[in-house]
Amino acid sequence: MDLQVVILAGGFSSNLVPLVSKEVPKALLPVANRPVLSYVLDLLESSNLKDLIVVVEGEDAALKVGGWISSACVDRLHVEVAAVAENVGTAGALKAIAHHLTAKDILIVSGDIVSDICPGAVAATHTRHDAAVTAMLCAEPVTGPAESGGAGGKDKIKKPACYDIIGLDSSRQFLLYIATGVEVKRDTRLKKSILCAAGKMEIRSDLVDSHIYAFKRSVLQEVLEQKPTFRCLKQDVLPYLVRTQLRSDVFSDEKAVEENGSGHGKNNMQNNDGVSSQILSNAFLPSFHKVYESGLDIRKTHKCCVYIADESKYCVRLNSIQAFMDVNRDVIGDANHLSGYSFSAHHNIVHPSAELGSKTTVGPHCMLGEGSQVGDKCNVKRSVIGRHCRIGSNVKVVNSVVMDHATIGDGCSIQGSVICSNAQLQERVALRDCQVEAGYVVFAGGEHKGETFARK
Amino acid sequence: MGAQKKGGARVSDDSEEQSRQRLQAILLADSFTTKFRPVTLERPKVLLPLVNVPMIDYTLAWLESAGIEEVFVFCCAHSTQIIDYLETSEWRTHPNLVVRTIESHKSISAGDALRYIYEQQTETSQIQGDFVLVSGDTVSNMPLADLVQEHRERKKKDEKAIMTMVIKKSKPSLITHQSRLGTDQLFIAVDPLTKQLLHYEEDKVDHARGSVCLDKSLMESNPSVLLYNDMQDCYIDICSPEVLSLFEDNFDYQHLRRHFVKGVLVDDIMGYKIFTHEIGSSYAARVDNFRSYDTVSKDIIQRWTYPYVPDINFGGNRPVKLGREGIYRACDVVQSRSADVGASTVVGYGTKIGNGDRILNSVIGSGCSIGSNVVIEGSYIWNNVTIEDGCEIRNAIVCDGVRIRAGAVLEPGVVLSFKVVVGRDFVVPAYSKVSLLQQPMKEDSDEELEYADSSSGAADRLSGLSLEMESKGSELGPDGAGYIWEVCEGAHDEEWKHSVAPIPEDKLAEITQAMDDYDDMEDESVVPTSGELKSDADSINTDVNDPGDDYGYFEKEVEGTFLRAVEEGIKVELGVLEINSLRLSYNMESADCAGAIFYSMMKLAVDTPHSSGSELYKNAASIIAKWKGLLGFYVKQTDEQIEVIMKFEEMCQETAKELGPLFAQILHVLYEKDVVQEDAIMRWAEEKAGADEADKVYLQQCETIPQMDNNLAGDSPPPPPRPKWRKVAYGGMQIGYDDNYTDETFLEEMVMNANVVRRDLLKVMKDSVSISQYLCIVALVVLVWFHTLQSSLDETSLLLLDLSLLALGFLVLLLTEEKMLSLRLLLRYVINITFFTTGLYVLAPVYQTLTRSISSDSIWAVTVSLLLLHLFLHDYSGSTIRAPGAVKSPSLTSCISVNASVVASVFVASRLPSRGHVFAVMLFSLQVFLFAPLVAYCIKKFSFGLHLGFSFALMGLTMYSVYALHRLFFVLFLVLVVVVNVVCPYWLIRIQEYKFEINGPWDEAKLCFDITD
Repeated sequence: MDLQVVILAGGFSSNLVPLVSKEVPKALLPVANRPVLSYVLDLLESSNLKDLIVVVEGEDAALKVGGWISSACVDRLHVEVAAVAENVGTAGALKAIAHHLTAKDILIVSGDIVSDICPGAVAATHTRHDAAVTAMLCAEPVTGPAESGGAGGKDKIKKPACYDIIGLDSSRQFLLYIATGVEVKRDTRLKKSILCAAGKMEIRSDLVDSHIYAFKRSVLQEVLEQKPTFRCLKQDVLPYLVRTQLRSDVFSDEKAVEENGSGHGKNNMQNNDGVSSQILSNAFLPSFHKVYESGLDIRKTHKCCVYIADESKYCVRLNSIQAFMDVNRDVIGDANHLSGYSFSAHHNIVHPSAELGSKTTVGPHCMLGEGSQVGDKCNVKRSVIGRHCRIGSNVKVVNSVVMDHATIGDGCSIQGSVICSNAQLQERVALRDCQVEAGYVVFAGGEHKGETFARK
Repeated sequence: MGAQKKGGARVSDDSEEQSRQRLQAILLADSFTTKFRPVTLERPKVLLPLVNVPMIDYTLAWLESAGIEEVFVFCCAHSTQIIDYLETSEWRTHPNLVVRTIESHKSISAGDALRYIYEQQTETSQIQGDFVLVSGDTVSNMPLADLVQEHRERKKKDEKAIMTMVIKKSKPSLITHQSRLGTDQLFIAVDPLTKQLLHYEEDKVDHARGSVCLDKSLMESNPSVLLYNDMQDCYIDICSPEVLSLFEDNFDYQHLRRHFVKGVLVDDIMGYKIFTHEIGSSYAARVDNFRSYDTVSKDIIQRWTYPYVPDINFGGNRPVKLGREGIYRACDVVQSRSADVGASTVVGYGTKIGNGDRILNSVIGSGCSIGSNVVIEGSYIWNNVTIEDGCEIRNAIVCDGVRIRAGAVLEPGVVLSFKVVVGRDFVVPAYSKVSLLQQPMKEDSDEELEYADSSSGAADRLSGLSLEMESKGSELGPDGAGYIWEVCEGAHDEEWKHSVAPIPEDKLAEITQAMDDYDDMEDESVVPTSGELKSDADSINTDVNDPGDDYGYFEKEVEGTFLRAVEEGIKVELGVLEINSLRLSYNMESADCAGAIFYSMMKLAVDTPHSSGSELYKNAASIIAKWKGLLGFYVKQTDEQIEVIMKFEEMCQETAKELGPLFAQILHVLYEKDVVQEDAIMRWAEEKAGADEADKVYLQQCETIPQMDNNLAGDSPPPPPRPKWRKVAYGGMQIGYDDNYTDETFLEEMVMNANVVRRDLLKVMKDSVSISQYLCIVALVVLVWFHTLQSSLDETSLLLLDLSLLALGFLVLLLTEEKMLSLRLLLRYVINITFFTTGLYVLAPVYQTLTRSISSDSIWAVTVSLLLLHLFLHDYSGSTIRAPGAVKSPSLTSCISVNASVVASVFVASRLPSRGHVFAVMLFSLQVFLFAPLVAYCIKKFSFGLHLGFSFALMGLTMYSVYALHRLFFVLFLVLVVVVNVVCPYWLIRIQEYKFEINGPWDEAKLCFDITD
């Protein structure tokens, strides 16, 4: 399989402030005490994709990520880390590393995905249809605490309606329309020419684009060259390709080149290609692209395919604080096969070196990292606690994430909050839906709700 | 509204009821378009032959075979022709299908037609439930019964599902964007699970390259939507009665799809839903234009519409024989040996085909004569057409009676209407339409006017025209007759799309080219990238109409309306109506209206020619005097009046400075005419008091007025007339009245004690006699018991008494009711009584020893209480005691009452010394308790006087006996009788006066009769 994998690991995402910092770029945010990037790497490794390019925004972040990768998986994978300038967007990042791309197809995976969908399936769909681009769609994730929890049901927050609208053809193999983000707020406008060619379109609003794409390299580079204004793969490049699929101008140069090179034999070969791709896609009828091409002799088309993941699969992008909470909860809860840990009989993981005080309970769906100390009469529910944390007595931790080396004083109550590494909570602090930056000190006795603690 | 309710009630009916409903259909025998002109000027579209059979026959034959039992044919254009045709056709006497015609000349659209049917419906209620709505040009062979059933079931589940549309897969051409039936491409969105229609868009080819716009709420409420482009609307609808009432409610619905379907989809208040049904194997198509005429004809010849094909008899056509290669030929066709008749051709009866003719893919009617060496390809030649030698006809429609002289050529797409003559060697240009009738003038080339010329009128004109034609020569060569219709501009491009001729190659190339150009153009307008998206969205938002701008438009509209009202002398009321509608459409306050109207009035005054200020003042005063009603309608409130003054001030300052010096005078006029009241002027003055000096100019001008006003304040002219308030249950707000307003007439309908029956004291007393009568009877029985127990009556005299009473009773029955008591009945009575007495006699010893172990005191107590119970529960009205043979069973209380009396008698009897006594007493008491009421009732029914006499006699007898027994009992009894007969009735009458019940129009309806009667 002539395929290169690009992981877009991002940099210091502004959505995730204060969780990310100079020390912790987005790719290294811990999900159940493992950096989120490790989930992507594991996923790719399971599909036997071992040649990877990790693209990180910013030199500092690249150094951090590179350091972690070399320490963690240098023996298993062949990873190149590339640094690009900050704020160039996903499309800009790809343009910057264009000279590294040599394979026929490029698989682009976002570095913040926690999923168990096989990326190999996307690549296979892509090759089978000989498509210009293949996007992976999955069912809309459930946000807020999982229903099975029961206890945390009250702080279930419905995400603002930010779904994607996706148009599929009748066989659900081709992407005919996609609108994401801002465009969704308006009425949906569908191009008639594509609709006419396909005859029938199924418009779904219960699917989301999960940010795993397979591109044909030539197409991708062509688009990036022609449209210098494009910044984002999801919002610019993909919709552009979908829009122009029936009057493609991304192939023109490539074909011209081919024609010069291979001369007369080319036509024959192309026909063979067409037939073989048709056989591969198990289609008795030629796809509507072919029909359209034959109807209008001068037209060139390209195919935009989709791979729709099974509904039972898990796929969440870690792109907001809420998502961070959700992912942490799910990985030690419902989707615990992702974490790679083995759970105890109480559905929790307590590292053998962790110390628990008397009358302290650690409920199911909890995780306690190595060397952490928990005082007497504490109560930990559905939370992740990192390594070497010190937690005093009479502390209540519910639905929260406490990162490594955090210190929590006696009598604190923490609900739905994130305490970053090295942060310190003094006695009797009550936090609810708060985020505490790394190394921050929250003074004793405060009661806070929905606040963000960060040094300016 | 009524029909809707009916429909709702019907839904709740059981399914049996539903399945018993007749299957009905409404057939619109008019397409309300002009696509088939000029042919339809002389003959209605539904009677045009489609493969030699009138279109309506296809529709009716299909409806009949699909199980429709009753069809309402709605005729509009050329209705007499259609009705005549149906009268003479076999549909008039068809056993399975009742064809009724509805005629209307006023309808100019399908909407009007359905409204007309609805009006008829309210009178005759012929349409009882769901019906099939088709137009008379439908060719189909799809089954309907299941579909109707499906629709009904869906309706039962969801009352809002009012219509099911039939759609069929048919992919429009990628290049021309029209279906093979020549209709525009259709975009519909359907819910994949429920098949509910969510979006319907049928657009002209010109906009085909834009985009389909789905409402965002659609996407929010449905996770998945199927958007079809490859469907064709068959215009076959299963409708519920609500559809008709919806048309009635929305009087602006004209087109079934463009207005009705879109209206229903957009309107989310009523929440009505339309569903779709896709047909797979069956055929359904509508002949909408010449292209679909061509397509459907070919489908018929190729037997897609089986069984409605030329070689099968349906609906009275004469079947023709099917030969090889799909050639249908009537048996008596005269065909020259050298003629070549090619595939897919139909030739009708009595047609002659000459030497060397070449006929291919064509339909030729009956009675045609075709000369030699004629070429006919892809054409439709109707009946009695004469084609002379050497003509060439390609892709043309040639109507009845046309004569094509030798050597003439019809280019593709030509339509020759009835009796046109094409001159020798004349070449009729492509796509031309030729008729003997002149093309109507531009102004009446509206879509609707097809109906206007009734058939007879057209015929008259026709004869006149043809005469004229002779003299004038013709546009069709020297010996031809007929006008070539000019194509109206704009529609020129459309010609090739809807004609019978296939689309020429160069046209296709042209469109493809145009599409490319367009694509290039579209590339220019690059969809903004993510960075720019926001600003774009903002700009769209700011585009949304500016309120200030809106007011400007509104003011202009009002001014236009006002000027028109002045010119045409429209009445004030009508002006109010028009301005109200403007107000609603621009969503303005009545103060805005007042301002705008006043502005228009002053503007008119200024615009009227005048030489001096005083003349201007006169103008203004006269206009105000004339139109104060209009203005007065909007200036009822002080705020509105202030608005008028402010407006006036503004005008004086800005637009019409000439008015400035006259401000005070005109304001005075306004005051005098009662447009502006003192209050408003004072308030205005107060508001202005704090303003700049410059603003106060006008205030100072009219400083004098309020003082003047004080003198005038005495007489207040009558308020402006308001429309009279009416009591309506619904129908919206009445102008000038609050929602909850009621006037005095509303209270006039209030009635007190409407349901109270006025009773006459004497009558009540008379009626109560029957109570005292029965009291006496019971008292007598008790007396007899007493005497028997005292042994002052021995058993023989008791038995004698029994017998005499029995005989007396029968006598009474016989005398009063001779008709009812036949001999047989009497015999049955005798037998029954014998059994009864025998049984009683046998059981007497048992009774005698029944209560031996119980003390007498308790027996007396129980007996007394049982008797009281008996008296209390007894039915004194006598209505429950029926003559023998009556069906109605007595009520529970009367049963208890009778049983109590029987038990009482048994108890008393059980204290008697001998078997004879027991028997005699039992017999006596049972006789009395069971039969005395019947006898008394018979007497009462026979004659009231006799009843009274009998009662008083009984009373006297009882009084005497009780008196003989004991004086105290006598007094008690007397008191009781008096209370029952005198005191109680008086009390009843008196107590009525205190009754207080309010009735009025707000009462719920009550049943005032017994349903079972």
